[in-house]
Amino acid sequence: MMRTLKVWMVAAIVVIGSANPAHSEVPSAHRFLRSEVDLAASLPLPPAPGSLAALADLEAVRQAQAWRSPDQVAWAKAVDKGTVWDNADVLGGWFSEAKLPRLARFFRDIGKDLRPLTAAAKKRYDRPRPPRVDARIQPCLDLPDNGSYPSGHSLYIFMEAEVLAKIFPEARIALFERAHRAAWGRIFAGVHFPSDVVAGRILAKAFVDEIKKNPAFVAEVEGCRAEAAPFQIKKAS
Amino acid sequence: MFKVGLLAIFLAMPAPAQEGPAPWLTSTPPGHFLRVESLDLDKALPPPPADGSLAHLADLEAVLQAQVWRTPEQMAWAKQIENDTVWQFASVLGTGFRAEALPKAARFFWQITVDTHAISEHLKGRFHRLRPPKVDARIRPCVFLPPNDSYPSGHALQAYVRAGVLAELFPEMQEALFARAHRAAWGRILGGVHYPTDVIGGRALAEAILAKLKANPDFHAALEGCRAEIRLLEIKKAV
Repeated sequence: MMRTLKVWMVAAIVVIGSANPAHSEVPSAHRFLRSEVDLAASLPLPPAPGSLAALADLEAVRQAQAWRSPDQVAWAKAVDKGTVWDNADVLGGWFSEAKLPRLARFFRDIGKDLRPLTAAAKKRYDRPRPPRVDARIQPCLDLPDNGSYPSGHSLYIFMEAEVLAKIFPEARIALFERAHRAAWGRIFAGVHFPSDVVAGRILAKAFVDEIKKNPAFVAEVEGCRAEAAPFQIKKAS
Repeated sequence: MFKVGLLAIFLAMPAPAQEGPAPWLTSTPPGHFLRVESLDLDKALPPPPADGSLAHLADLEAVLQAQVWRTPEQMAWAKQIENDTVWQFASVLGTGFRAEALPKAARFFWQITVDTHAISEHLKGRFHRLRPPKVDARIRPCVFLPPNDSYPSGHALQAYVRAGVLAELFPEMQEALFARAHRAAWGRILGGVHYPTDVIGGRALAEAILAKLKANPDFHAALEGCRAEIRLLEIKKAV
């Protein structure tokens, strides 16, 4: 009975999927990623349940909640809906989709490479989210129903910092400081453990190390820098 | 020469206004209720995360972000906890809970502090974990950086042991007592002088210590003395 239900669910997903134009793009057609990122080699296992590290993870989430300020709730919500353009905080108001169409396309394409990796990693480790481990944790966001490890938001945030730091190396430190602050928004939200966030950071680095081997990626970095240059000069004068 | 230097550092450490001289200033040997040898140390406390491991990176990130987001209120809390004593549990138990009114309890908690301090110092020396600011120069503590090792947190150990012993005297307050212990222990992260796993190590050790204490008849006799003293205080208050 259960099996029949599962077969029907799969069939339904296939039908819905093929009807949805977004899904009709071949997801395996990587833009920059030429060989798969080796998850087992890139990411350590999450802390074992009940271990010292798992208890420390949980305590950090509980205490983030105990001390959570209205500012931190607002930050968690902003990060939840965040995009690469939020890095305008660091880079300046010129850093916008309207001014930088090439960069916009570049990040959309990288996102297509990163999405399946995120899904595969979460599925592989299948770690329960903090509120599923401790009922006292009340997230200030809707709790996503996928796995906790690694944090997908952190993966995107640190991927963006890694790539932006290649385009704008002079802003590297500020970009990473922002990324660390943004990723911590997931702890304030109560939807991730600190080790999930660190794993997102580690995997983002492994992913970018892989795509940067592709000359097309290097060319896009150069192209995006050239696209942004007139705005940066304007700012300097 | 080295010893004199070390003593100078310890004398410079803020001495908590507590039930007796600070454990590192007293000549009274530990062992009132418990000795280091009474514990199975391997069982009582797992080793801290290895340097550079996922758990260590998560530890470091928690301390860094605590600093990034630290509010004046949190800074004040870190400073208050730096000089934590059992009497700060008055925030849970009421203003009647003070050393002057409860001399037996004062003596009792001082003895427990001396015993447990000896155990945490012994274990710190066993693991030799560096404090967060010694590992990452971006971490700037807002409280005094103690010269001893990081793992386990002595302040966390004391907070949890005190909560556990107080819960024997005030069982109806157990939840609030432990909630305060959690907040007190986290004050060390807010201060930038400990990692989350140091605090969890202190808590794990506190659980092992409390189990040993509860198996000791002398501990129960002392508890009875404190209960009588507390009852007397309550009667006086009622009159």
